[in-house]
Amino acid sequence: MRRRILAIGAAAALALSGLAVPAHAADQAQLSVLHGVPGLTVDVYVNGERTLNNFKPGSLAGPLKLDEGTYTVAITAADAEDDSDPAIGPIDLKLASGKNYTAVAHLEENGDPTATLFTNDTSKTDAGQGRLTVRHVAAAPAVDILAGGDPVVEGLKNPDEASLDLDASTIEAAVAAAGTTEPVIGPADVAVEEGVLTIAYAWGSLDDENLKLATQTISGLHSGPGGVHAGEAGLAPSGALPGVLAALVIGLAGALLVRRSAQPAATRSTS
Amino acid sequence: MNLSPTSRSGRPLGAAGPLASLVVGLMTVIGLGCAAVGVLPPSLADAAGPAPSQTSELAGPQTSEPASPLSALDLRPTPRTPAQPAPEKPVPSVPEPDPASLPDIRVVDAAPRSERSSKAAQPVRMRIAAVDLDVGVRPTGVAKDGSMELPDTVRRAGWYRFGATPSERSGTTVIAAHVDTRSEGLGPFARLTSARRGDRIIVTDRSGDEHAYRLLSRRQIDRTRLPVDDLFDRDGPPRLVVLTCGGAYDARSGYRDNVVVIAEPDR
Repeated sequence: MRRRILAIGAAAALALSGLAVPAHAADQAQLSVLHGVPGLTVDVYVNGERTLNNFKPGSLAGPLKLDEGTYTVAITAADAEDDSDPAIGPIDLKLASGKNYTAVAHLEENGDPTATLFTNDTSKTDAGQGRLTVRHVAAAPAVDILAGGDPVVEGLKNPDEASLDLDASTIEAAVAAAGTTEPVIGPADVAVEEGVLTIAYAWGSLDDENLKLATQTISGLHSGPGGVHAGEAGLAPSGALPGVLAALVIGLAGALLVRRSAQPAATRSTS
Repeated sequence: MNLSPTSRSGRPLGAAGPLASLVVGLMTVIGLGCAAVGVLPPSLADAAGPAPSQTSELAGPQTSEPASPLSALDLRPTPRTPAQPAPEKPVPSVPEPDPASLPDIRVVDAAPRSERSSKAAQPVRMRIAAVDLDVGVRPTGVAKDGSMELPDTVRRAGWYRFGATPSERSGTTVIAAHVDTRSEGLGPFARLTSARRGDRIIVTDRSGDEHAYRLLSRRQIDRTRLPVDDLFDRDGPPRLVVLTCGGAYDARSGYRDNVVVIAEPDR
Protein backbone atom coordinates (compact mmCIF):
# COMPACT_ATOMS: atom_id res chain seq x y z
CA MET A 1 0.00 0.00 0.00
CA ARG A 2 1.37 3.33 -1.00
CA ARG A 3 0.54 6.28 1.06
CA ARG A 4 0.28 9.72 -0.35
CA ILE A 5 1.42 12.94 1.13
CA LEU A 6 -0.83 15.89 0.94
CA ALA A 7 -0.05 19.49 1.30
CA ILE A 8 -3.32 20.91 2.35
CA GLY A 9 -4.31 24.06 4.09
CA ALA A 10 -4.04 27.73 3.51
CA ALA A 11 -0.99 28.10 5.76
CA ALA A 12 0.91 25.56 3.76
CA ALA A 13 -0.09 27.04 0.47
CA LEU A 14 0.78 30.55 1.57
CA ALA A 15 4.19 29.47 2.72
CA LEU A 16 4.72 27.66 -0.55
CA SER A 17 4.08 30.78 -2.51
CA GLY A 18 6.94 32.31 -0.53
CA LEU A 19 9.27 29.80 -2.12
CA ALA A 20 9.08 31.50 -5.46
CA VAL A 21 12.29 33.17 -6.54
CA PRO A 22 11.78 36.90 -6.88
CA ALA A 23 11.15 37.56 -10.51
CA HIS A 24 13.81 40.19 -10.92
CA ALA A 25 16.53 37.87 -9.61
CA ALA A 26 15.79 35.30 -12.25
CA ASP A 27 15.27 37.86 -14.95
CA GLN A 28 18.55 39.69 -14.59
CA ALA A 29 21.93 38.77 -15.96
CA GLN A 30 25.01 38.64 -13.75
CA LEU A 31 28.28 39.96 -15.07
CA SER A 32 31.72 39.74 -13.54
CA VAL A 33 34.83 41.31 -15.02
CA LEU A 34 38.31 39.81 -14.83
CA HIS A 35 41.40 41.80 -15.68
CA GLY A 36 43.96 39.51 -17.26
CA VAL A 37 46.29 41.87 -19.09
CA PRO A 38 49.63 42.09 -17.26
CA GLY A 39 51.18 45.44 -16.41
CA LEU A 40 48.24 47.62 -17.30
CA THR A 41 46.03 49.36 -14.77
CA VAL A 42 42.81 50.36 -16.50
CA ASP A 43 39.45 52.03 -16.24
CA VAL A 44 36.39 50.20 -17.51
CA TYR A 45 33.59 52.10 -19.20
CA VAL A 46 30.14 50.65 -19.65
CA ASN A 47 27.86 52.44 -22.10
CA GLY A 48 30.21 55.43 -22.00
CA GLU A 49 30.30 55.78 -18.20
CA ARG A 50 33.32 54.95 -16.12
CA THR A 51 32.31 51.94 -14.04
CA LEU A 52 35.59 50.56 -12.71
CA ASN A 53 38.41 52.86 -11.69
CA ASN A 54 42.09 51.87 -11.46
CA PHE A 55 41.28 48.23 -12.13
CA LYS A 56 44.44 46.20 -11.62
CA PRO A 57 45.69 43.07 -13.40
CA GLY A 58 44.62 39.88 -11.64
CA SER A 59 41.53 41.54 -10.15
CA LEU A 60 37.98 40.36 -10.40
CA ALA A 61 35.02 42.73 -10.19
CA GLY A 62 31.37 41.99 -9.67
CA PRO A 63 29.04 40.39 -10.10
CA LEU A 64 26.87 43.17 -11.43
CA LYS A 65 23.20 42.38 -11.76
CA LEU A 66 22.08 43.82 -15.05
CA ASP A 67 18.88 43.81 -17.01
CA GLU A 68 18.90 41.82 -20.20
CA GLY A 69 20.37 43.78 -23.09
CA THR A 70 23.51 44.76 -24.92
CA TYR A 71 26.20 46.70 -23.07
CA THR A 72 29.11 48.44 -24.71
CA VAL A 73 32.34 48.04 -22.79
CA ALA A 74 35.53 49.97 -23.39
CA ILE A 75 38.77 49.57 -21.45
CA THR A 76 41.15 52.49 -21.25
CA ALA A 77 44.40 53.37 -19.58
CA ALA A 78 43.73 54.41 -15.98
CA ASP A 79 44.55 58.06 -16.67
CA ALA A 80 42.22 58.44 -19.65
CA GLU A 81 39.73 61.31 -19.59
CA ASP A 82 37.01 59.27 -21.27
CA ASP A 83 36.54 56.17 -23.40
CA SER A 84 37.31 57.83 -26.74
CA ASP A 85 40.68 56.07 -27.07
CA PRO A 86 40.23 52.61 -25.58
CA ALA A 87 43.07 50.14 -25.17
CA ILE A 88 40.59 47.29 -25.58
CA GLY A 89 37.26 47.52 -27.29
CA PRO A 90 34.76 48.94 -27.45
CA ILE A 91 33.02 45.58 -27.51
CA ASP A 92 29.35 44.82 -27.27
CA LEU A 93 28.31 42.35 -24.59
CA LYS A 94 24.92 40.80 -25.23
CA LEU A 95 23.55 39.61 -21.91
CA ALA A 96 20.53 37.36 -21.58
CA SER A 97 18.33 37.24 -18.50
CA GLY A 98 19.08 34.56 -15.96
CA LYS A 99 22.57 33.89 -17.29
CA ASN A 100 25.88 34.36 -15.55
CA TYR A 101 28.81 35.87 -17.46
CA THR A 102 32.40 36.83 -17.01
CA ALA A 103 33.96 39.37 -19.34
CA VAL A 104 37.72 38.91 -19.43
CA ALA A 105 40.22 41.49 -20.63
CA HIS A 106 43.20 39.43 -21.67
CA LEU A 107 45.89 38.74 -24.23
CA GLU A 108 45.41 36.82 -27.40
CA GLU A 109 47.78 33.98 -28.18
CA ASN A 110 49.97 36.45 -30.08
CA GLY A 111 50.03 38.94 -27.20
CA ASP A 112 47.50 41.51 -28.46
CA PRO A 113 45.03 42.72 -25.85
CA THR A 114 41.42 41.69 -26.36
CA ALA A 115 38.28 40.92 -24.40
CA THR A 116 36.16 37.80 -24.34
CA LEU A 117 32.73 37.22 -22.87
CA PHE A 118 32.33 33.80 -21.27
CA THR A 119 29.04 32.27 -20.15
CA ASN A 120 29.45 30.51 -16.81
CA ASP A 121 27.83 27.10 -16.44
CA THR A 122 25.80 27.50 -13.28
CA SER A 123 23.58 24.48 -13.86
CA LYS A 124 23.08 22.22 -10.84
CA THR A 125 25.85 19.92 -9.72
CA ASP A 126 25.25 16.48 -8.26
CA ALA A 127 25.35 16.17 -4.48
CA GLY A 128 28.94 15.97 -3.30
CA GLN A 129 30.36 17.48 -6.46
CA GLY A 130 31.69 20.81 -7.58
CA ARG A 131 32.43 22.10 -11.06
CA LEU A 132 35.80 23.21 -12.38
CA THR A 133 35.99 25.33 -15.50
CA VAL A 134 39.40 26.17 -16.96
CA ARG A 135 39.89 29.03 -19.39
CA HIS A 136 42.93 29.79 -21.49
CA VAL A 137 43.26 33.56 -21.76
CA ALA A 138 47.05 33.78 -21.88
CA ALA A 139 49.52 34.70 -24.62
CA ALA A 140 50.62 31.10 -25.00
CA PRO A 141 50.03 28.18 -27.33
CA ALA A 142 47.69 25.31 -26.50
CA VAL A 143 48.04 23.91 -23.00
CA ASP A 144 47.11 20.88 -20.95
CA ILE A 145 45.55 21.26 -17.52
CA LEU A 146 47.02 18.89 -14.97
CA ALA A 147 45.38 17.72 -11.77
CA GLY A 148 47.74 15.96 -9.41
CA GLY A 149 50.24 15.73 -12.27
CA ASP A 150 47.86 14.05 -14.72
CA PRO A 151 46.29 15.83 -17.68
CA VAL A 152 42.54 16.30 -17.21
CA VAL A 153 42.09 18.77 -20.07
CA GLU A 154 44.25 18.50 -23.17
CA GLY A 155 45.01 20.87 -26.00
CA LEU A 156 43.13 23.88 -24.64
CA LYS A 157 43.64 26.95 -26.84
CA ASN A 158 43.20 30.66 -26.22
CA PRO A 159 40.36 31.72 -25.69
CA ASP A 160 38.72 28.34 -25.13
CA GLU A 161 37.39 26.73 -21.97
CA ALA A 162 36.70 23.27 -20.60
CA SER A 163 34.54 22.14 -17.69
CA LEU A 164 34.38 19.08 -15.52
CA ASP A 165 32.36 18.08 -12.49
CA LEU A 166 34.46 16.58 -9.72
CA ASP A 167 33.99 15.22 -6.23
CA ALA A 168 34.51 18.12 -3.88
CA SER A 169 38.19 18.24 -2.96
CA THR A 170 41.29 20.35 -3.23
CA ILE A 171 43.20 19.53 -6.36
CA GLU A 172 46.77 20.33 -7.22
CA ALA A 173 46.33 22.14 -10.51
CA ALA A 174 49.02 23.00 -13.01
CA VAL A 175 49.20 24.21 -16.59
CA ALA A 176 51.68 22.72 -19.04
CA ALA A 177 52.33 23.18 -22.73
CA ALA A 178 50.11 20.76 -24.64
CA GLY A 179 51.54 17.27 -24.64
CA THR A 180 53.94 17.94 -21.78
CA THR A 181 53.75 17.63 -18.00
CA GLU A 182 56.29 20.29 -17.07
CA PRO A 183 54.21 23.07 -15.46
CA VAL A 184 54.36 26.58 -16.87
CA ILE A 185 51.91 27.65 -14.19
CA GLY A 186 51.67 26.09 -10.76
CA PRO A 187 51.19 23.60 -9.35
CA ALA A 188 48.76 25.44 -7.11
CA ASP A 189 46.04 24.15 -4.80
CA VAL A 190 42.58 24.84 -6.17
CA ALA A 191 39.65 24.05 -3.91
CA VAL A 192 36.70 22.54 -5.76
CA GLU A 193 33.93 22.97 -3.23
CA GLU A 194 30.63 21.18 -3.23
CA GLY A 195 27.95 22.99 -5.18
CA VAL A 196 30.42 25.67 -6.27
CA LEU A 197 31.65 26.54 -9.74
CA THR A 198 35.36 27.31 -9.60
CA ILE A 199 36.71 28.95 -12.72
CA ALA A 200 40.48 28.89 -13.18
CA TYR A 201 42.03 31.26 -15.68
CA ALA A 202 45.49 30.87 -17.15
CA TRP A 203 46.50 34.44 -17.96
CA GLY A 204 49.60 36.50 -18.72
CA SER A 205 52.26 35.86 -21.30
CA LEU A 206 54.55 32.91 -21.83
CA ASP A 207 57.18 35.05 -23.57
CA ASP A 208 57.15 37.62 -20.80
CA GLU A 209 57.32 34.86 -18.21
CA ASN A 210 54.37 36.22 -16.27
CA LEU A 211 51.86 33.42 -16.68
CA LYS A 212 49.57 33.17 -13.68
CA LEU A 213 46.45 31.52 -12.38
CA ALA A 214 43.34 33.46 -11.41
CA THR A 215 40.21 31.96 -9.92
CA GLN A 216 36.59 32.93 -9.64
CA THR A 217 33.93 31.09 -7.67
CA ILE A 218 30.16 31.04 -8.04
CA SER A 219 28.18 29.21 -5.37
CA GLY A 220 24.66 27.90 -5.19
CA LEU A 221 24.86 25.09 -7.75
CA HIS A 222 24.31 22.37 -5.14
CA SER A 223 21.52 19.84 -5.13
CA GLY A 224 20.40 17.50 -2.37
CA PRO A 225 21.50 13.87 -2.24
CA GLY A 226 19.40 11.23 -3.97
CA GLY A 227 17.79 10.11 -0.74
CA VAL A 228 18.46 8.72 2.70
CA HIS A 229 18.60 4.95 3.06
CA ALA A 230 18.67 4.60 6.78
CA GLY A 231 17.68 1.08 7.66
CA GLU A 232 18.21 -2.46 6.48
CA ALA A 233 16.68 -5.03 8.78
CA GLY A 234 12.98 -4.21 8.89
CA LEU A 235 12.85 -4.26 12.66
CA ALA A 236 11.32 -0.85 13.15
CA PRO A 237 7.59 -0.94 13.84
CA SER A 238 5.80 -0.06 10.64
CA GLY A 239 4.26 2.92 12.35
CA ALA A 240 0.98 3.10 14.19
CA LEU A 241 -1.45 5.55 12.70
CA PRO A 242 -1.05 8.97 14.20
CA GLY A 243 -3.63 9.64 16.88
CA VAL A 244 -5.99 12.04 15.16
CA LEU A 245 -6.09 10.02 12.00
CA ALA A 246 -6.55 6.77 13.88
CA ALA A 247 -9.51 8.15 15.80
CA LEU A 248 -11.17 9.34 12.62
CA VAL A 249 -10.52 6.09 10.81
CA ILE A 250 -12.00 4.14 13.68
CA GLY A 251 -14.97 6.44 13.52
CA LEU A 252 -15.31 5.87 9.80
CA ALA A 253 -15.01 2.13 10.15
CA GLY A 254 -17.62 2.21 12.85
CA ALA A 255 -19.98 4.14 10.63
CA LEU A 256 -19.47 1.63 7.87
CA LEU A 257 -20.15 -1.26 10.18
CA VAL A 258 -23.34 0.30 11.40
CA ARG A 259 -24.42 0.94 7.86
CA ARG A 260 -23.52 -2.53 6.73
CA SER A 261 -25.36 -4.23 9.52
CA ALA A 262 -28.51 -2.68 8.11
CA GLN A 263 -27.91 -4.30 4.75
CA PRO A 264 -28.96 -7.79 3.62
CA ALA A 265 -26.64 -10.61 4.51
CA ALA A 266 -25.98 -11.40 0.84
CA THR A 267 -24.34 -8.01 0.34
CA ARG A 268 -22.17 -8.35 3.39
CA SER A 269 -20.78 -11.62 2.20
CA THR A 270 -19.13 -9.93 -0.75
CA SER A 271 -16.74 -7.97 1.43
CA MET B 1 -3.85 -2.83 8.46
CA ASN B 2 -6.24 -2.51 5.58
CA LEU B 3 -8.62 0.32 6.14
CA SER B 4 -9.77 1.54 2.84
CA PRO B 5 -11.40 -1.21 0.73
CA THR B 6 -14.43 -1.46 2.95
CA SER B 7 -15.64 1.87 1.72
CA ARG B 8 -15.31 0.89 -1.90
CA SER B 9 -16.12 -2.76 -2.48
CA GLY B 10 -19.35 -4.57 -3.13
CA ARG B 11 -21.74 -2.00 -1.78
CA PRO B 12 -25.11 -1.55 -3.50
CA LEU B 13 -25.41 1.78 -5.22
CA GLY B 14 -28.57 2.53 -3.38
CA ALA B 15 -26.74 2.64 -0.09
CA ALA B 16 -24.37 5.33 -1.27
CA GLY B 17 -26.41 8.41 -0.47
CA PRO B 18 -26.23 9.02 3.27
CA LEU B 19 -23.09 7.04 3.65
CA ALA B 20 -21.31 9.04 0.95
CA SER B 21 -22.11 12.30 2.66
CA LEU B 22 -20.81 10.92 5.91
CA VAL B 23 -17.63 9.74 4.20
CA VAL B 24 -17.11 13.05 2.45
CA GLY B 25 -17.64 14.89 5.68
CA LEU B 26 -15.13 12.73 7.43
CA MET B 27 -12.69 13.10 4.61
CA THR B 28 -12.82 16.83 4.81
CA VAL B 29 -11.96 16.66 8.47
CA ILE B 30 -9.30 14.06 7.87
CA GLY B 31 -7.85 16.02 5.02
CA LEU B 32 -7.32 19.09 7.12
CA GLY B 33 -6.17 17.09 10.11
CA CYS B 34 -3.58 15.32 8.03
CA ALA B 35 -2.02 18.44 6.74
CA ALA B 36 -0.29 18.40 10.09
CA VAL B 37 0.15 14.64 10.09
CA GLY B 38 1.23 14.42 6.49
CA VAL B 39 0.26 10.82 5.81
CA LEU B 40 -2.96 9.42 4.48
CA PRO B 41 -4.07 6.01 3.34
CA PRO B 42 -4.54 6.05 -0.43
CA SER B 43 -8.30 6.01 -0.68
CA LEU B 44 -8.63 8.95 1.64
CA ALA B 45 -5.83 10.80 -0.03
CA ASP B 46 -7.33 10.33 -3.45
CA ALA B 47 -10.65 11.62 -2.32
CA ALA B 48 -9.31 14.54 -0.38
CA GLY B 49 -6.72 15.55 -2.91
CA PRO B 50 -8.64 17.59 -5.45
CA ALA B 51 -11.22 18.90 -3.01
CA PRO B 52 -9.72 21.93 -1.24
CA SER B 53 -9.33 24.57 -3.85
CA GLN B 54 -7.09 26.81 -1.78
CA THR B 55 -4.17 24.47 -2.32
CA SER B 56 -4.01 24.79 -6.03
CA GLU B 57 -4.88 28.44 -6.09
CA LEU B 58 -2.19 29.56 -3.73
CA ALA B 59 0.50 27.05 -4.44
CA GLY B 60 0.72 27.88 -8.09
CA PRO B 61 0.48 25.48 -10.99
CA GLN B 62 -0.67 22.07 -9.90
CA THR B 63 1.66 19.26 -10.76
CA SER B 64 1.02 15.57 -10.64
CA GLU B 65 3.28 15.36 -7.60
CA PRO B 66 1.87 16.54 -4.32
CA ALA B 67 3.47 19.69 -3.11
CA SER B 68 6.00 19.27 -0.39
CA PRO B 69 4.48 19.81 3.02
CA LEU B 70 7.91 20.24 4.58
CA SER B 71 9.04 23.36 2.93
CA ALA B 72 5.60 24.74 3.32
CA LEU B 73 5.21 24.18 7.01
CA ASP B 74 8.59 24.12 8.61
CA LEU B 75 11.46 25.18 6.48
CA ARG B 76 10.23 28.48 5.16
CA PRO B 77 7.94 29.97 7.73
CA THR B 78 6.61 33.39 7.00
CA PRO B 79 6.99 35.01 10.43
CA ARG B 80 10.75 35.28 10.66
CA THR B 81 11.68 35.58 7.03
CA PRO B 82 8.78 37.19 5.27
CA ALA B 83 8.52 36.17 1.66
CA GLN B 84 9.73 38.92 -0.56
CA PRO B 85 7.09 40.06 -2.96
CA ALA B 86 8.27 39.89 -6.52
CA PRO B 87 8.69 43.53 -7.40
CA GLU B 88 7.95 44.86 -10.84
CA LYS B 89 10.96 47.12 -10.73
CA PRO B 90 14.41 46.14 -9.52
CA VAL B 91 14.79 46.70 -5.81
CA PRO B 92 16.94 49.71 -4.94
CA SER B 93 19.94 47.65 -3.88
CA VAL B 94 20.20 46.07 -7.31
CA PRO B 95 22.25 48.21 -9.67
CA GLU B 96 20.33 49.70 -12.54
CA PRO B 97 21.65 49.16 -16.04
CA ASP B 98 22.51 52.83 -16.08
CA PRO B 99 26.22 52.67 -15.24
CA ALA B 100 26.08 55.98 -13.40
CA SER B 101 24.36 54.12 -10.59
CA LEU B 102 26.99 51.38 -10.32
CA PRO B 103 28.97 52.93 -7.51
CA ASP B 104 30.32 50.12 -5.35
CA ILE B 105 31.42 47.13 -7.31
CA ARG B 106 33.21 44.51 -5.32
CA VAL B 107 36.74 44.03 -6.62
CA VAL B 108 38.88 41.19 -5.30
CA ASP B 109 42.28 39.73 -6.02
CA ALA B 110 41.62 36.68 -8.16
CA ALA B 111 44.76 34.79 -7.14
CA PRO B 112 43.88 31.25 -6.10
CA ARG B 113 43.06 30.66 -2.47
CA SER B 114 43.50 27.17 -1.20
CA GLU B 115 41.91 27.49 2.20
CA ARG B 116 38.46 26.01 2.42
CA SER B 117 35.67 27.23 4.59
CA SER B 118 36.28 25.62 7.94
CA LYS B 119 33.28 24.19 9.66
CA ALA B 120 34.27 24.57 13.28
CA ALA B 121 30.73 24.09 14.49
CA GLN B 122 30.29 20.65 12.96
CA PRO B 123 28.09 18.48 15.17
CA VAL B 124 29.62 15.69 17.24
CA ARG B 125 26.66 14.68 19.42
CA MET B 126 22.88 14.87 19.38
CA ARG B 127 20.49 14.32 22.23
CA ILE B 128 16.71 14.14 22.49
CA ALA B 129 16.16 13.56 26.18
CA ALA B 130 12.41 13.08 25.78
CA VAL B 131 12.97 9.82 23.92
CA ASP B 132 16.25 8.87 25.57
CA LEU B 133 18.23 9.38 22.39
CA ASP B 134 21.92 10.27 22.71
CA VAL B 135 24.28 9.53 19.84
CA GLY B 136 27.66 10.55 18.56
CA VAL B 137 27.72 12.32 15.21
CA ARG B 138 30.40 12.35 12.54
CA PRO B 139 30.62 14.19 9.22
CA THR B 140 29.39 12.29 6.17
CA GLY B 141 28.98 13.09 2.52
CA VAL B 142 27.44 11.32 -0.43
CA ALA B 143 27.43 7.55 -0.94
CA LYS B 144 28.30 5.97 -4.28
CA ASP B 145 24.64 5.63 -5.21
CA GLY B 146 24.10 9.35 -4.70
CA SER B 147 22.24 9.05 -1.42
CA MET B 148 23.40 10.57 1.83
CA GLU B 149 26.29 8.61 3.30
CA LEU B 150 25.60 7.18 6.76
CA PRO B 151 27.76 5.53 9.41
CA ASP B 152 27.52 1.73 9.18
CA THR B 153 26.43 1.47 12.78
CA VAL B 154 23.15 2.41 14.42
CA ARG B 155 25.16 3.81 17.34
CA ARG B 156 26.36 6.80 15.40
CA ALA B 157 24.69 9.39 13.21
CA GLY B 158 26.01 11.22 10.20
CA TRP B 159 26.00 14.97 9.71
CA TYR B 160 25.76 16.01 6.05
CA ARG B 161 28.98 17.96 5.78
CA PHE B 162 28.00 19.85 2.64
CA GLY B 163 25.07 21.42 4.44
CA ALA B 164 24.90 23.91 7.26
CA THR B 165 26.37 23.68 10.74
CA PRO B 166 24.28 24.64 13.77
CA SER B 167 26.10 27.97 14.03
CA GLU B 168 25.21 29.09 10.53
CA ARG B 169 22.42 31.57 10.09
CA SER B 170 20.82 29.88 7.14
CA GLY B 171 20.24 26.42 5.80
CA THR B 172 19.50 23.07 7.35
CA THR B 173 21.80 21.03 9.53
CA VAL B 174 21.00 17.46 8.50
CA ILE B 175 21.68 14.54 10.86
CA ALA B 176 20.68 11.00 9.91
CA ALA B 177 21.27 7.45 11.11
CA HIS B 178 20.19 3.91 10.38
CA VAL B 179 17.10 2.87 12.30
CA ASP B 180 18.49 -0.66 12.32
CA THR B 181 21.18 -2.87 10.85
CA ARG B 182 21.14 -6.62 10.37
CA SER B 183 24.04 -7.11 12.75
CA GLU B 184 22.97 -4.70 15.47
CA GLY B 185 19.20 -4.69 15.35
CA LEU B 186 17.30 -1.57 16.24
CA GLY B 187 19.26 1.50 17.23
CA PRO B 188 18.48 4.69 19.12
CA PHE B 189 16.96 6.32 16.04
CA ALA B 190 14.07 3.85 16.25
CA ARG B 191 12.86 6.03 19.11
CA LEU B 192 12.63 9.02 16.81
CA THR B 193 9.07 7.97 16.03
CA SER B 194 8.14 8.75 19.62
CA ALA B 195 9.49 12.29 19.53
CA ARG B 196 6.85 14.97 19.68
CA ARG B 197 6.37 18.56 18.76
CA GLY B 198 8.04 20.73 21.37
CA ASP B 199 10.68 18.19 22.36
CA ARG B 200 14.08 19.69 22.94
CA ILE B 201 16.99 18.57 20.80
CA ILE B 202 20.55 19.43 21.78
CA VAL B 203 23.33 19.33 19.23
CA THR B 204 26.87 19.63 20.55
CA ASP B 205 29.49 20.88 18.12
CA ARG B 206 33.18 20.16 17.91
CA SER B 207 34.10 23.16 19.99
CA GLY B 208 31.80 21.99 22.79
CA ASP B 209 29.04 24.51 22.21
CA GLU B 210 25.51 23.26 22.62
CA HIS B 211 22.82 24.27 20.17
CA ALA B 212 19.25 23.84 21.37
CA TYR B 213 16.35 23.13 19.04
CA ARG B 214 12.63 22.71 19.52
CA LEU B 215 10.93 20.01 17.50
CA LEU B 216 8.45 21.46 15.02
CA SER B 217 7.20 18.37 13.27
CA ARG B 218 7.71 14.69 12.71
CA ARG B 219 6.44 12.96 9.62
CA GLN B 220 6.80 9.81 7.62
CA ILE B 221 7.38 10.41 3.96
CA ASP B 222 7.67 7.91 1.16
CA ARG B 223 11.38 7.65 0.51
CA THR B 224 10.88 8.06 -3.21
CA ARG B 225 9.17 11.37 -2.62
CA LEU B 226 11.51 12.83 -0.07
CA PRO B 227 11.84 16.54 -0.90
CA VAL B 228 15.61 16.47 -0.66
CA ASP B 229 16.24 19.92 -2.01
CA ASP B 230 14.03 21.38 0.70
CA LEU B 231 15.43 19.18 3.45
CA PHE B 232 19.02 19.82 2.40
CA ASP B 233 18.41 23.52 1.95
CA ARG B 234 21.26 26.00 2.29
CA ASP B 235 19.58 29.35 1.98
CA GLY B 236 16.45 29.24 4.08
CA PRO B 237 16.11 29.81 7.83
CA PRO B 238 18.33 27.73 10.13
CA ARG B 239 16.77 24.34 10.85
CA LEU B 240 17.76 20.98 12.20
CA VAL B 241 16.55 18.05 10.10
CA VAL B 242 16.82 14.57 11.63
CA LEU B 243 16.24 11.59 9.37
CA THR B 244 15.97 7.85 9.59
CA CYS B 245 13.90 5.11 7.99
CA GLY B 246 10.52 3.73 8.95
CA GLY B 247 7.18 2.58 7.73
CA ALA B 248 6.41 -0.67 6.02
CA TYR B 249 9.37 -2.89 5.22
CA ASP B 250 9.95 -4.88 2.08
CA ALA B 251 12.81 -7.36 1.97
CA ARG B 252 13.86 -6.19 -1.48
CA SER B 253 13.32 -2.45 -1.40
CA GLY B 254 13.75 -1.88 2.33
CA TYR B 255 11.74 0.61 4.32
CA ARG B 256 9.13 2.51 2.42
CA ASP B 257 9.40 5.75 4.35
CA ASN B 258 11.78 8.20 5.84
CA VAL B 259 11.03 9.50 9.30
CA VAL B 260 11.58 13.24 9.06
CA VAL B 261 11.98 15.42 12.10
CA ILE B 262 12.30 19.16 11.70
CA ALA B 263 13.34 21.44 14.52
CA GLU B 264 14.00 25.14 14.83
CA PRO B 265 16.55 26.90 17.01
CA ASP B 266 15.23 27.32 20.54
CA ARG B 267 16.18 30.82 21.48
